[in-house]
Amino acid sequence: MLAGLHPLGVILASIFVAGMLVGADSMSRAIAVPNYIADVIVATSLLAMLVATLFAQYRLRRNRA
Amino acid sequence: MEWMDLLSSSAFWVAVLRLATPLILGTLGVLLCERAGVLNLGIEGIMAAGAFTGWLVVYLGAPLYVGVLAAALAGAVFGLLHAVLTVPLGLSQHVSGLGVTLLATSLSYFAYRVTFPSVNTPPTITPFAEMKFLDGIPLIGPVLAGQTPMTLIALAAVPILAWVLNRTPVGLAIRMVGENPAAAEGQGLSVTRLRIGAIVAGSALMGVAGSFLTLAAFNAFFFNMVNGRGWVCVALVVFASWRPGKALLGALIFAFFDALQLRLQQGGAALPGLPELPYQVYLMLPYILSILALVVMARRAAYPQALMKPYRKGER
Repeated sequence: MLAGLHPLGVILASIFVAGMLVGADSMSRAIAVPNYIADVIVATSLLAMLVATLFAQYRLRRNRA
Repeated sequence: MEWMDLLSSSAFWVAVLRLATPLILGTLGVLLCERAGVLNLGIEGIMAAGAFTGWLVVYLGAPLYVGVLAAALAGAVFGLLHAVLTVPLGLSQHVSGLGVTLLATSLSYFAYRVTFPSVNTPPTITPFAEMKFLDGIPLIGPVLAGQTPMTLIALAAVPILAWVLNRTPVGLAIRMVGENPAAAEGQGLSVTRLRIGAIVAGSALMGVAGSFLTLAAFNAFFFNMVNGRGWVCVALVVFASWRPGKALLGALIFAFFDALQLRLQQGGAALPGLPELPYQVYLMLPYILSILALVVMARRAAYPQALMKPYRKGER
């Protein structure tokens, strides 16, 4: 879903998720943030992506006054 | 250990009812959502959120019943998120549900770690006491005496939900938006409102199911404590062919095999007629049986016709 149903998107999406996980680990080492923050962000972006697919169906048009 | 000893021991039936309680509540929650035509895969996470919220509120000094209410509220909040995504926006109910599960689970783990940064032994609370005074009732007394009030709530919720769904105008309206939303709209009912309401109410039930784990079954919050019970509830709804009474039956059957499996694990001595197998095989037992039951039951299940079909006004 994060990949936007595109095979190449999978690469981008997995790099994103991996970055989140690694980043969360170093965050928790540095300033003791629980590393579950990574899952929270991944879940939030999943839901955001889901909503984005809906809005991608619409097109904004500017009416010339 | 003989079969008869096992089946006549009240301790075994106490365990069955105890294991069944979260399943009953959770299954009723999913059932309510699906009767209104929306699949709610958020249950696994909503149960975790309910378990955590209920436990945290009680840990901070609130009475146990307030904890249950807080869990219901937490469930309702995540239910509302799922409802907004799936009903007015009409998004994929699978992805949204899984997203809610991921979000609710990780948020509660995150909040747990934030509140208790470095504890190795989880902080405990005093959970619901067993209702010892019920011991006097003949036959079922000893079994009920081993239960907490939450089990009674769960058992009472079954006929209440069945009555609401089948005998009240609201229940009729909920079933209608699950079967034929266009007809419901034609009757002047708001499909969006009814569906959102049903999802929020069902999710509140799931939250309560989760809070049973921390407020009655154990006395602390653990990671992975929901442990797939939410998915079992989703399967049980199909097994129950979307009827509350059968949901109770399904939850009890699953809990029966779960309790049996626990006994076989710890007992060591196998029951007569059962081969000596690694206990992991018995661990699979309830799940295998639920798959088999699904195969048999799901064929003739009359599922809500509009299940998983988002409704858009004015569209055919």
